[in-house]
Amino acid sequence: MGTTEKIREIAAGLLRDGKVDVVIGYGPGTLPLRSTPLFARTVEEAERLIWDATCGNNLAVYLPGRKDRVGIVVKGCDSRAVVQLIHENQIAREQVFVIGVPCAGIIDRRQVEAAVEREIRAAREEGAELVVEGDGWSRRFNREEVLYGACRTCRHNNPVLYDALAGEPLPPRDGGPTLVEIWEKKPAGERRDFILSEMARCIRCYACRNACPMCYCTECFVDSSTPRWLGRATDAGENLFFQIGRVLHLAGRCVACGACSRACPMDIKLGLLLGKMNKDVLELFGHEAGLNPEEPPALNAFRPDDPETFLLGK
Amino acid sequence: MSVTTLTAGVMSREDLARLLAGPASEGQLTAPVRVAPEVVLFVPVRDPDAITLDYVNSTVPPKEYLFPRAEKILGWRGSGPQPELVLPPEPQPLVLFGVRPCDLRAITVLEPVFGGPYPDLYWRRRRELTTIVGLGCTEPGPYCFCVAWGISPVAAPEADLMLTPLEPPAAGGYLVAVQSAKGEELLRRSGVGLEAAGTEPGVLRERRAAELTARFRRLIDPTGVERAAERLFEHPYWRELARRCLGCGICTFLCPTCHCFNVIDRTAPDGSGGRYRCWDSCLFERFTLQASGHNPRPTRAERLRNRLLHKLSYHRTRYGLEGCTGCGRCVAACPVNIDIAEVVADLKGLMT
Repeated sequence: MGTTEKIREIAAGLLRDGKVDVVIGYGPGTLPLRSTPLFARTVEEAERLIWDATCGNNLAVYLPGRKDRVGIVVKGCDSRAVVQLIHENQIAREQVFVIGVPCAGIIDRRQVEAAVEREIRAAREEGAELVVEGDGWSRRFNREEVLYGACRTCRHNNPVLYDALAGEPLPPRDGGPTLVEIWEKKPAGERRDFILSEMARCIRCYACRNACPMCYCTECFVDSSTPRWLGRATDAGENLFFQIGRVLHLAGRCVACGACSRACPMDIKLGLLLGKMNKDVLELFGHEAGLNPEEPPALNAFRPDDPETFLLGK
Repeated sequence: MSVTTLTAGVMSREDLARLLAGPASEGQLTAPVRVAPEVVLFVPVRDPDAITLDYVNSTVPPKEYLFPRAEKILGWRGSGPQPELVLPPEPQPLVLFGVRPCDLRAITVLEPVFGGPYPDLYWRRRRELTTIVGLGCTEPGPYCFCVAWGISPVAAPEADLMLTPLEPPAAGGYLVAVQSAKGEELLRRSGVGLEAAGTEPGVLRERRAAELTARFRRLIDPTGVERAAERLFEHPYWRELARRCLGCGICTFLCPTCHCFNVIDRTAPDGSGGRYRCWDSCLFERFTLQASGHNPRPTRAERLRNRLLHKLSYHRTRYGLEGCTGCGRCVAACPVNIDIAEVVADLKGLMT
């Protein structure tokens, strides 16, 4: 049984038995290489659920503040978001039925579109390959080479929390050095210039924030008018202020799913700033967000013997 | 709108660099440039070689050169009861090259908003100072559906000079239609001469339009969809659609016809500052939040409905113009694949 069929079977069972009110999963998109979030409330609607390498959305974004009982389809990274949201009391563990999916990585559709430079009419996976077809042409890609950056270097491709698993666990990935590991070896000036040139493109549509399961504040600091922390003018400095503010608010909370980068219409490398923050949190506190349901988040824990080297020096 | 063509003729691909060389050297040229592997933007260009012609459409529409993302409308120095007023610098003449027919139509769509009985000074000034060189398409993108709104993919009356690429794409050159005195002036100053087209220009353009139109695959028929505003305003469809919506501003900020703005003041610690007109989005919760705390569009369902009906109905009711130009940017960029073409089909389905 394929993953799609397995997800449908689990979802239909949950809805039939009244164990959940809704199953949040993926449905077919309107175009090749697209899928869309699907909210199945009946057994019939569950039949429309799918799973493939386009199912990139982190559906945990729909969890905070829900009052109903919900089944949710999660990849490795998404499951970490569920764990973190439970830690942060945004949803109760007993409210959620987690349908885990071992994930082999999500296709970066924009990269494929840019590579073929023509209209894609159909796309399908064939083993380790992605086949895209257009009007009288077809092209094969090595699947690994057209994955999102966050997926290529993913180290948690199997769900860390699940009530049912749709598919067999996959061998852990070792994507080699992450972008951050490569990038942080560059001289400071080069890094600053790169970040500023990236930030100059930001149009402040806030898709990164809104696609992030951890950005659930009822009032975001950028929207506050009393006091107004930030204007709506979009220059590189203000944009950087917004992004740095967001990264700092996500310290010890970002699950490295890459939803922000995927949502960004301007292809800004947001993963660099967040990846660096995650790396610092790991080095300073030995903590990675959402990995362990039993372990409190880095900023929720206090240890009297914390060396606090960043305050007191080594 | 009918096309007023003063003259028309053919120009070679090499002539394009000559046409743009003058404005480029004077710092007046803005054109599409690939600024990142997957991002093409209209940016100021000094070297015409930096221009990319290899794009379906720019990531952000060129409307920001007529309606900037953040436009300083006044400034002041000093605080107290009588600060000194500082007017922002006047906009400079601009040649906007490479605007696609969908984005050209958007100018007509926005004209009654900014140019109506109470004309908007800032928009009008920039319109006067901008010479627009339109560039017809050679390939429909996967998200494109301009033809559904009756737009020709190769011609548009809004351009001062309209370039229609001729076959074969790399060597065929362009059919150039001079459509205004500004266009005529740009051509005259460049010294580029137009050669007579072998076929009557109107016929040639129609033929290219028909060839290209036949290659569009997003075939939607929006006829009658505007009635959804009356008939489906309270339909549960909107709540269902909005379950997926993330409430970001991508669709509005990338839309060539979205035009909502907010006016904000920015004050430095010494009291000096400026007043800016900035893009705003009806998808943002704060957009309709009132000082009393009441929000007439309290959830994403009302906000998403507002945006879609504005495109599909309100603009048409108010101005007799379609609010969507089928550029497909919102479809391409929406993180959750909310697709206005699908919405049109859904709404029509619900009304039959």
